[in-house]
Amino acid sequence: MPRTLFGRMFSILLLGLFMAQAFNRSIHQYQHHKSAIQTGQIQAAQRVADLIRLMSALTPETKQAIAAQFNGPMLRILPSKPSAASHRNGEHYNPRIKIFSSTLHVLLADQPPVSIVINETSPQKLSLNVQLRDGTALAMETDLTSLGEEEPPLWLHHLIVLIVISAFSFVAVNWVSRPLQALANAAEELGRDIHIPPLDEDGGPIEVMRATRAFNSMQARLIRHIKDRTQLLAAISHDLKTPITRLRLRTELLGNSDIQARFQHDLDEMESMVMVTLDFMRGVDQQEPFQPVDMMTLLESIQADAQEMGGAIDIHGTMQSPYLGKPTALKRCITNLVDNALKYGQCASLLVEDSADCCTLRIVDQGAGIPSDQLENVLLPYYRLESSRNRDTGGTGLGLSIAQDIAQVHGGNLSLNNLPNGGLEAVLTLPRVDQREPV
Amino acid sequence: MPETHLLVVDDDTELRNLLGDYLRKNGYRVSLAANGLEMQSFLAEQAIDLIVLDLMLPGDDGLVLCRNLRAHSNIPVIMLTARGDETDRIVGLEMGADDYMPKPFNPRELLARIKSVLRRVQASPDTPEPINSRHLYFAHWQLDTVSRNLLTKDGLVVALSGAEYRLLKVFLDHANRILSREQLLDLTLGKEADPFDRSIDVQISRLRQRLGDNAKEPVIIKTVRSEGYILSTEVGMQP
Repeated sequence: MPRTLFGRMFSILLLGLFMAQAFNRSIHQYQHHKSAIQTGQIQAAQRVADLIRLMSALTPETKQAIAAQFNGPMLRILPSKPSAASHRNGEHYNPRIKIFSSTLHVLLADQPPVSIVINETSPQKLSLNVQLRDGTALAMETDLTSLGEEEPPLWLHHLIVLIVISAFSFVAVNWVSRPLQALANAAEELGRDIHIPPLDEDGGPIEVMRATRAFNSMQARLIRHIKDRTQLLAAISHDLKTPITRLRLRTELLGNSDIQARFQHDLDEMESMVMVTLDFMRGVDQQEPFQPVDMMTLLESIQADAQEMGGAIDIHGTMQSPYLGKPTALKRCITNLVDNALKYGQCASLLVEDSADCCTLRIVDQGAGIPSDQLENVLLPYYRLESSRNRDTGGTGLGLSIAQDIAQVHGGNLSLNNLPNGGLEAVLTLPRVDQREPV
Repeated sequence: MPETHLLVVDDDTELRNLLGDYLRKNGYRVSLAANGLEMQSFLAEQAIDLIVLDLMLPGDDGLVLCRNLRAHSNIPVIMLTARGDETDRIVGLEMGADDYMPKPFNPRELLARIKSVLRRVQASPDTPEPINSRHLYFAHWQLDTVSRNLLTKDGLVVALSGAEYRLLKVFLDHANRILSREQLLDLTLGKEADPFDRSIDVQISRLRQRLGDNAKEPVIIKTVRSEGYILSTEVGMQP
């Protein structure tokens, strides 16, 4: 078996070509065979017709003498005897000798004998009982050079050829392309989950094996790269946590409560930046299992938490059945969107739409919206609108990125639209199809 | 009443000194230790009421120290860590720490936790310790104290708001004991109770609804007339 993709493709083409040729040859033979049968029948008919014409023209004495001479291998005159089937008119011949009989008919059209009865004595032999116009009965026997079995019709041949070659091509091409297909699937999957298990490097054509090895090592490098960066950030933020804690303690030990409050405000901001960055770098928790989540209680808990902080959220719509997802991640995702709506849009309405294959959450606020050319940019990490860069709003520019990451982990998507009557709408689609098995 | 004696164990000198100053300023007697060995020698010589223990220490780390301590002592421990990983929290709780503070923490919150742990220990030395486990089982529910979600027997996740979780956790920590409105307010929010404050009743009714407890005939959180509320079900580490 060839080991390279090139070799495999080449042998498949070669084999297919060979098979087509073989079938063509068999069709050719079939046709040749058929024409041989025809020729044999025509020639036999010619001989018989000539003999009948000759015998018809002769006197009875000469008939006897001539008849004795016709004793060759191809045509014999037998001792005459009255035919038992003399009534048969020679119309309903066996289809196998249709050509013979019709040719005979044509050749004797100008002076047909009184009757001709054709009998097939063996596949190769025909016996004829002819009653000539002068009343003489003539019995003869002729050989057909070849009288093969009737072959199946040509279209059946074509069909069989088509099916066999198609089946062969299907199996063969599938065999060749399967490793490539697996590679393509893995590449697609990698976008969603960097930690998919590496592909099997053995098996498949050499070219695909090389690509697979390269793919696996690329994945390993990517994972290492992400790990390095995460570790670096974790190290920095770990190192920042102790000074922040010290500063907090120093602030508490300060006498001046005005300065204390300002320090605390700055420290809160620093702390939230460190924590959110860490959160984002850690990414969506890979360990958290997919579990059936009662989404309505999740939304109500977010509503209650917001209420505690003085934010008003109203919820419309309902969910038909639990959603299979990562509960903590989902809560964080929706909380981020709700917080955003409350911060920039004063209030938040949560509209729930549920169907068998997707649940959609719309978080609508009554703020100023986002300039339409910035709608996609605000989903990028650390991207903040000029108007919100102002420190007082305290955004880190990561909330929406984290929300989008979480949506994508669930195979869903997050998009932002400005509403015609003002306000921003965040649409979170969470497909129910292709959900993972609960752990 | 003798001064409460705290022991702060942290390898960061600056932080250790600042913590000492802060806690002294708030009326505690404080000793400082830089590592496990110093901690052991303090414990051998003096009566310590509570240990604030850093997780990351040279030599034996906080988890090892806490586990060794639990083998022969019930001194309450509040664990400090800079990692803030949920696994740390789980392991810390299971090693026997009474509470857990991720760095950077708000000193006032640390103070509140110290008070709350001390009160729990001093007020009721005979009552059983609250169970420290990631998963708490009660009635037909399971509470995940890390993700702060409820789970039904079928594994359906029922989310809790922060207030609902705090209230439920207080009930689970004081299972089968009557808690007055004042105690509940104090334990959930650290607030001084206002005699006319009915907010706790609103929260109880919300929590009952979450737990599927009929408000007219509750079976999990029962009302004790003119006294308060009681969680009347067993709480365990296994279903």
